[in-house]
Amino acid sequence: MSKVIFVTQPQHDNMTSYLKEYSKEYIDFANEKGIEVINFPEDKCNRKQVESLISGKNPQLVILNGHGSPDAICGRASKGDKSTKCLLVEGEQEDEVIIDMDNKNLLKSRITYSLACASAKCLGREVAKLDKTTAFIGYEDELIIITDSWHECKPKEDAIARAFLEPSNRLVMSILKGNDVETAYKKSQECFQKWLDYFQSDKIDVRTSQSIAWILYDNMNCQVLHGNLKLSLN
Amino acid sequence: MAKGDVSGEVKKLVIERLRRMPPNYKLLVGSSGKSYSREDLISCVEKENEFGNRIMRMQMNYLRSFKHKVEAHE
Repeated sequence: MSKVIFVTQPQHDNMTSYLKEYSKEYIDFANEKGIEVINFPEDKCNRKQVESLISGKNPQLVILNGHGSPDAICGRASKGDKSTKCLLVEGEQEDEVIIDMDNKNLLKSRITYSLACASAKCLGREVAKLDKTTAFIGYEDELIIITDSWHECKPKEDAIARAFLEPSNRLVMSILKGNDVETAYKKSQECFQKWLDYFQSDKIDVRTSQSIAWILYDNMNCQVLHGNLKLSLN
Repeated sequence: MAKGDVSGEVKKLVIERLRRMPPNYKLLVGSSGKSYSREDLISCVEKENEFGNRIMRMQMNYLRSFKHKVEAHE
């Protein structure tokens, strides 16, 4: 059976722009390995199209970039359509909810990796209970990254942001290599620890260390894995 | 951590640590997409609002873990 992965790539603020930019690394990697990648940019990241894609294409791995809450994962910025479910994010900005408790069954019998804040806390736990061939990796609290404003136009050149997003990419790459989700999770945690050790070392000045290590530590601790630990793309 | 529960010492410590943050650094928060400058963070802690309390909890959790790490190496 050919392998298919699905990636949402909303892009309407700095956070989603960084997530999108860094997702290109694992999308390129998947393409090199001959895995079919279906990626949805901002406009397509709405509930209807996401539901239709997952049901129709049946991807084994679903990667959800975007904002979120303990029981919802968002896609694009709301277009003001009152009939769509939305989550209030920044100020008056609302994002469309693409996955929540009502359509969580879409993630049954798949591996899901969600970067949407806190979505592993309730939604991820419930998804993992759907059956024994389901796994959900995500964050139980807010995912926070530090960026260097001098590099905001070119996120890939932002060496500070890399420390926060490389552990996430390591997880996806490991799954794409065929490892089970438990191994991928361990690789990601090791990558967090590598960066934490680096920012606690004498190679780094105290100001930088004090500014970064506490957030890396928090992200590392709120990344969790629910469901079948031995699930892989193989 | 409700308003008023934070010891003055913790608040002072966290604010001093935040003051040392390079001015070009920004925090991006995934739940909201909101970005915070160093001054925004200090203001949240001073006001002890929800995010300010979160920052204090995160900083203290980290400092406790760092203390354990240092003690384990002694």
